[in-house]
Amino acid sequence: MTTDATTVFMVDGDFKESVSITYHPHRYYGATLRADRTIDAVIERHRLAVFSEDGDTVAGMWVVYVANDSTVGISSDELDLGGDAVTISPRDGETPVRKTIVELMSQDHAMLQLEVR
Amino acid sequence: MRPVSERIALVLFDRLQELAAQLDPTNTVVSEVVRPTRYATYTPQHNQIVIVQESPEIDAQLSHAGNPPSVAWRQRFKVHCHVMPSELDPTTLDSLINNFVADVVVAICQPASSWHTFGNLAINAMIEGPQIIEASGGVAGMTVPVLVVYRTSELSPYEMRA
Repeated sequence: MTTDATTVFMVDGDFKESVSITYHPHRYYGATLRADRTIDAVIERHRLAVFSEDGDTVAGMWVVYVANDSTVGISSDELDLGGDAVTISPRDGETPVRKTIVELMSQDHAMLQLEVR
Repeated sequence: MRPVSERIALVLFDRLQELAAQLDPTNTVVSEVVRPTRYATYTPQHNQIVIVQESPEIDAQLSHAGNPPSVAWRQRFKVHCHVMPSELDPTTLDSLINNFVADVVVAICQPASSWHTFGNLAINAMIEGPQIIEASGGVAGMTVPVLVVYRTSELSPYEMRA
């Protein structure tokens, strides 16, 4: 399963985005500096959804699948849901923009499923 | 020329923008102040302020007869204060929210003697009881409702009435 994450899901022409995305680890004050890096990802572009925290505000939502890996993906132990972000194309082909990872929807030893808003 | 409601919204936005521009470390370091577009393009951030407004209501008691009459409006703005601290941040969530909300209220209530007029556009304003944001999507925080009462000509929402 762990091997499949990088050799099946993250292979060009199969599931992953043709363009790699950028992972921006949050830099909490005093913590060890973590540099941005390019990673592979499968992006499921959802329709617009209500962002309930702001009442009826409608905003885009993306589900991003990455390998649970600190080199080619994001490892579950490094993920910080208090500021980590990824740069992705809101719609396929659009200019990538930085979006915040707001939730770890599911995880196993091979992959992480992230909610990005 | 903009309608009175929009001019009041811009005053509120500007006051919170001033909070965002402050570098005083005793204050909350606001990341940005946002008024959402149709499809919101902002991304949730720590110490972020999002301003939205509710449906305006007519206040019949404060409206005036005349030719044309003056209509009093009660417009509630909701100032959503987002907190999304690092998982490494040892500060309690309530503490972050308390400080953030206090800074937001102070920023809105400037200048102290006339803040409620929003630049001579309103006849009264009040800060209502804050409400906790239910953190269903990874963002916590509190919403500060700001009720602004103003009058316009019945014939033109652009024309402010005292």
